[in-house]
Amino acid sequence: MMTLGIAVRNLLHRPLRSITSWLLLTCAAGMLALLLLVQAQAARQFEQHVAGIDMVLGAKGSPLQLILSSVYHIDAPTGNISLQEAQPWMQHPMVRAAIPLSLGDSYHGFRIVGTTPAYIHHYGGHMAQGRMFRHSMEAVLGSAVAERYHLRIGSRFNGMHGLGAEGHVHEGHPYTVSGILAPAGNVLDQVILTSLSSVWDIHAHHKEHREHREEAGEHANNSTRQVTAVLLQFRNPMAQLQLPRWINTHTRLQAAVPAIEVNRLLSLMGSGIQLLRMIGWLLMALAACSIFLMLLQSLQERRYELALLRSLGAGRVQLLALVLTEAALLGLAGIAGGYLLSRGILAALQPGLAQQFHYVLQHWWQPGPGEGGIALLVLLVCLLAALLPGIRAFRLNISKTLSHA
Amino acid sequence: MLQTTLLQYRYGQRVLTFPPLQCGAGEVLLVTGASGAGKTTLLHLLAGLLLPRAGQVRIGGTVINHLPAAQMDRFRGRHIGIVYQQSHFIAALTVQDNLQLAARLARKPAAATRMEALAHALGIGHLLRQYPARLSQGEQQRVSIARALLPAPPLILADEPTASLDDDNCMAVARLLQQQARQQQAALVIVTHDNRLKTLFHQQTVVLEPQAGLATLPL
Repeated sequence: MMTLGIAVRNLLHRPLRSITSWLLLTCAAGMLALLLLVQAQAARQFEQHVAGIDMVLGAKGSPLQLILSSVYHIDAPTGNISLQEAQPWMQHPMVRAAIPLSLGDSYHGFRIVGTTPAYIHHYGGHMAQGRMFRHSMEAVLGSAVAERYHLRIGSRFNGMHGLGAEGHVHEGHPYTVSGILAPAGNVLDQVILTSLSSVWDIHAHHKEHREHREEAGEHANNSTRQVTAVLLQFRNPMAQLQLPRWINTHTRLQAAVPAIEVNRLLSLMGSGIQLLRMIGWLLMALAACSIFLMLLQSLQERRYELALLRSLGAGRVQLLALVLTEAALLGLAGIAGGYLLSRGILAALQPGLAQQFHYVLQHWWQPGPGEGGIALLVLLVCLLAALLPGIRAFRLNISKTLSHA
Repeated sequence: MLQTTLLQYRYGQRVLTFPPLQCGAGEVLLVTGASGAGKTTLLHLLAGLLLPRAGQVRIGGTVINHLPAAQMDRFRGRHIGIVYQQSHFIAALTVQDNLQLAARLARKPAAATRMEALAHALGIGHLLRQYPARLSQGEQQRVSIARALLPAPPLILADEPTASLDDDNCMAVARLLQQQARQQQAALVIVTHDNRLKTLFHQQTVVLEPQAGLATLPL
């Protein structure tokens, strides 16, 4: 108890030195915790969204772009394919389920996805209010969309062409909100869902001008109808080996396997994270050096104090404990600081991530699985840095020190 | 209270020899000698900070030469109060906390009233909440006397307690030291080359003879 008190007072007595060490520790611990969190969250998010989708069918182009645009709704779509061409694959005996998607419009940065109710079921969505879209120009909103723009059942809004915040507004074709989804914790929260025919109707009108509205809308047939991508689920793993290759070499369509693309993406991200992690370790090493030097220097200045404590009746073990306590206190402060720092950064990034990447962090304020390890590591580094100064205190020659005053 | 036989201490090739000493409870023993006579060495031997090559130091009923390091530290805390030539303090603690720390390390926590009474007697009652670095040398020396006295040890060792003080402060500090030691019935050993003190303590004085080659040693 007495040791703890003296340690605290000693740290506060030399605030500049203590704060420097604390800041270094905080940055190092915060950085490592942040990387751990982002990596864990990214892997979880990517894997969660890709779950159950074995292959994506779309227009030729970059397979990664196809996956990003159709599964994560991040990148621009690769282009459209005709539904007729995709039809044989959607009804292929090896395919268990197929969900067509029609992309291209948005509402203030939130994507409008023309699809079937199967899409909502696939991502485990439940209606919080209202009902599924039944007719053309009815829309079901993800929870974040509804919340952001205060839309209710029966509200009307106009879609915009393209995916940016600015774009041509499809005036005269307002959507009516028929339902709002409960928060699902995945990409569903960030999109607006409507029937395929809504998208077809709007773009058919758009192309053929307003006069032919009725005709174009109702007489469009399968041969002219287009979708952007089709999400497919296979009946057996054999299909995964055969279908994509066959489609890519023999048709005008592109087949991309999400698992492969996501792995590629994560490994790309991984090298960036690797670099950041090295910086984190470097900071940690710097913090350790700083604490080591701080303690060594301050003990050099305080060696009379230590000799005095011995002459007043404190044992060697008590002096060693004092030095280690000072380091451990710094370590604990660093752990707390790092935790707050990493959470602060996440909280600041969160709105941007959600908006731009539909990347919703979950339970980010809770200590992650690796964070206990980081805390332990920080504490260990501090104690290690304090060991040599501590041993010097332990072996201090009190008579010599006192007589050289 | 304090008894020693002929003590020897060895610095490399040189061997220092000290005459036997004796000092009873409530008595004062003044040990003088020129620089290099080994005064500080003797004091550190008496305090158990150094171990003699030959001879015994007996404090109360205990021969301290044979105590292991940890027990020696504890024994010193409980039984010996030391006043140094240069006052050392824990800079991060106030005067009050410095005093209390000494009492706690001696495992004799002092009541606040006792600490205040002692501080008043030594004329530092108004300084208890200050940090030691802010005090003058005379005030610092009084604080170290208070620190040595607070746990009420049976033996007080003072190493040049007045060397850095002017005449007025020298007399005042020396008198206070003697008064308080007598009041607590402690044996007081003062090691000094300060001639001013000889006029004050003429009862018992041991003069250390200059020892061959000692002037060149780093003590």
